[in-house]
Amino acid sequence: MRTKGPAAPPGAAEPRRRPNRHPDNAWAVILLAVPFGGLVVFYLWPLLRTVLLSFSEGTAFSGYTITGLDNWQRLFENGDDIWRALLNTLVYAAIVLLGVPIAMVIAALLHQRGLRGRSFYRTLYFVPVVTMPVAVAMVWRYIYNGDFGLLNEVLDTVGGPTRAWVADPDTALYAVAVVGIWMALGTNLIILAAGLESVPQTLEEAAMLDGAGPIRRFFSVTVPLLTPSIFLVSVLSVIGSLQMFDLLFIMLGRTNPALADSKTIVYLFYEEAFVRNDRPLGAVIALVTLVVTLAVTAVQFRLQRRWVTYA
Amino acid sequence: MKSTKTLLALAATAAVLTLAACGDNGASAGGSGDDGGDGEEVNLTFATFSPDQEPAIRQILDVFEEENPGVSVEIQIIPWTDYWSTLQTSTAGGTGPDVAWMLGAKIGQYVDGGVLLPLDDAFEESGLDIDKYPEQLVDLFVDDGTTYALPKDFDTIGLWYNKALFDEAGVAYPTPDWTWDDVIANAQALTKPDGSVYGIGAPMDPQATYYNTIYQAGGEVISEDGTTSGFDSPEAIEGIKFWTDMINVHHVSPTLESFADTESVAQFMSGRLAMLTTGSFYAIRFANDEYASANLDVTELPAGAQEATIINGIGNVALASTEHPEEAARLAVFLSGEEASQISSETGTVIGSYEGTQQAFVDAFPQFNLQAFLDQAENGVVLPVSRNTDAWASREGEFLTPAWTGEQSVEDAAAGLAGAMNEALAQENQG
Repeated sequence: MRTKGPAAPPGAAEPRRRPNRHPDNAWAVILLAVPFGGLVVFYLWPLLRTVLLSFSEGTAFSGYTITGLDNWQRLFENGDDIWRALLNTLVYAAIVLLGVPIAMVIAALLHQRGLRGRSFYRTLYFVPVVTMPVAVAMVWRYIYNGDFGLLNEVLDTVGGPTRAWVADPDTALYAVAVVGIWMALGTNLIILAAGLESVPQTLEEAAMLDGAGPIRRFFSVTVPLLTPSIFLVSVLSVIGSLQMFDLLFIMLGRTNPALADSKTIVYLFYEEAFVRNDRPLGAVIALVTLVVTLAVTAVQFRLQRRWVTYA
Repeated sequence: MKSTKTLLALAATAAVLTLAACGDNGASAGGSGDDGGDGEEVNLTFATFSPDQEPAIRQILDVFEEENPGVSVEIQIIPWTDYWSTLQTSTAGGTGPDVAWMLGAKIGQYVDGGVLLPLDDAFEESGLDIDKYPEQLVDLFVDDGTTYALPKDFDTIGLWYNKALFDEAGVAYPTPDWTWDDVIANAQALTKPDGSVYGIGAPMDPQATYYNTIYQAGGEVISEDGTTSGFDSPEAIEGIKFWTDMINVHHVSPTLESFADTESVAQFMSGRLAMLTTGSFYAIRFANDEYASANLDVTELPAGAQEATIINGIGNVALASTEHPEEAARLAVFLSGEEASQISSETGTVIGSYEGTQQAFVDAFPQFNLQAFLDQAENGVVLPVSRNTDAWASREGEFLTPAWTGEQSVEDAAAGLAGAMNEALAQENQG
């Protein structure tokens, strides 16, 4: 937001001269003020309010008064709900991260020269992204149904184990994570496909002349040059997973025996803030989510130095 | 480092969730017209959460508009999942509707917040008779002698059964004098060993299943003064055990897992359950389904140590933030009045609350013995509430799940629930 150079000593002549010297600056300030105002009103102000709310007590009608650390104490001292939710969320994020290598393989297959119907396949993989999560969750609920589900039907004919996939505490979180991978696949593919396009053809050809086969070329040429895209996909995928709520909410339902073992942190936030009307405690959980997201992302940025190659 | 900033912004979104939900209510306040001078146009907004009842509500509002020239009412349907948070935040922000649906479980916070209009004067002016409403429901909306809402309808729980499955098993249909033991014995006769048909459904559903049997056993969910939990009493435990035994001891009901995958009503409608205890509010759904309409019927709940059925109803409140308090109060009363009650009953959606209008509900779907729901109303126990019902009611599932799955005894689960509930009640009574 600085509009002039190094701080000038206070002088009488300075303010008079300024408007004429940089007529464009005024416009820059005005144009920047619009998005900056939006940032303040829609991000910074709510964030500040959330922080204040987390230290407050009260109800929507009586208003909230700041009382101190009570809510934070309540969250961490009353049982292990928050720890279990954090663990579930991290497990979920880790599983969804496994979708990245899957997306890489598919992206590479779709990138092969001479492949027919490439746009068709790309569209096909992208469809889950533009489908409403609620609709996706409903369809998968039918697939996973323990009594009449498609999955059990198939497993039954091949002699595999059948169970109530999303109602069994041992499998529910994993079953939901599989849907998470499937839903994120489309976005990941688009980003990775764009990355593949930018891998110079010349390097591939040079490797080919050196006698490298397709597998060797993929791992020694393509993957290293693709690492910036892989990194981006991983970061986005983790942030998205840390905020997972809708799939769990729709696929499990209120009286599911697996719910206690599968709750994510945003689900816990929803329960406290909107079911039990405890908005201050909800604010604490929202801030914990923010801190965890920042921490996990910071770790990813730290680790990228070891494996991401910027050409 | 530009991407770091983007990520920061993304992460901040998580925290914004809280406020975003508080910020968007978009509900317009009542007066888009002039400020209510003589003979001026008055526009009111009425909030409801049921799209099913919209046609009946529109009919009722047309009558109201006809009787009150110059007043027009707009319906605002807010889906159930958003209804309470929207109503709460918009009311607190002064931009709420003028009149809205209210439940006994929620009204405490609104009364404490001082955001409701007393309806006593408008009720007196209407000429309606308070004795014509089910008494338990009227009390639900009265606080300290002031009436804040009147019940517009009520529902009770009955024993629905599938005639085709009873015929097939050669078992006589249930009658109003059945006891708990009759239910168990007949459910055993109706259950097929291959798992294709179960005698009864035992979902973990307070209003439709275990609250009823807790009161039938002589127990209670919450003490009369609203300060202590009744879940750990021997009677309440017996009432819960009735259902968990159906799954874990008698094996005549699908498991909780099965109900999580396919809800009990859907299983019942597809002929997998021979019996299901649930509310009068499902009559319309059953009537609209070909198989259900032809094969289902209903009778009174079986009795335990005593007769009891959970009764619940919706009230209409007028909000204090309205610009037209007089018209809003009049509308709130009218929506729960005799004409409104008659129209609601005729559609078969709900049982109108005003005495004399209920026959229309019974007649709406003659294929079902809906009279059973009315006959039970005198034994009705109002759905238990406190000032902040959700604080403890939302924890029932968490504590009772292990009892339903058989991992924990009902005694232990109920004791845990009672402890958590007492804690919530202590907090609420001290706040």
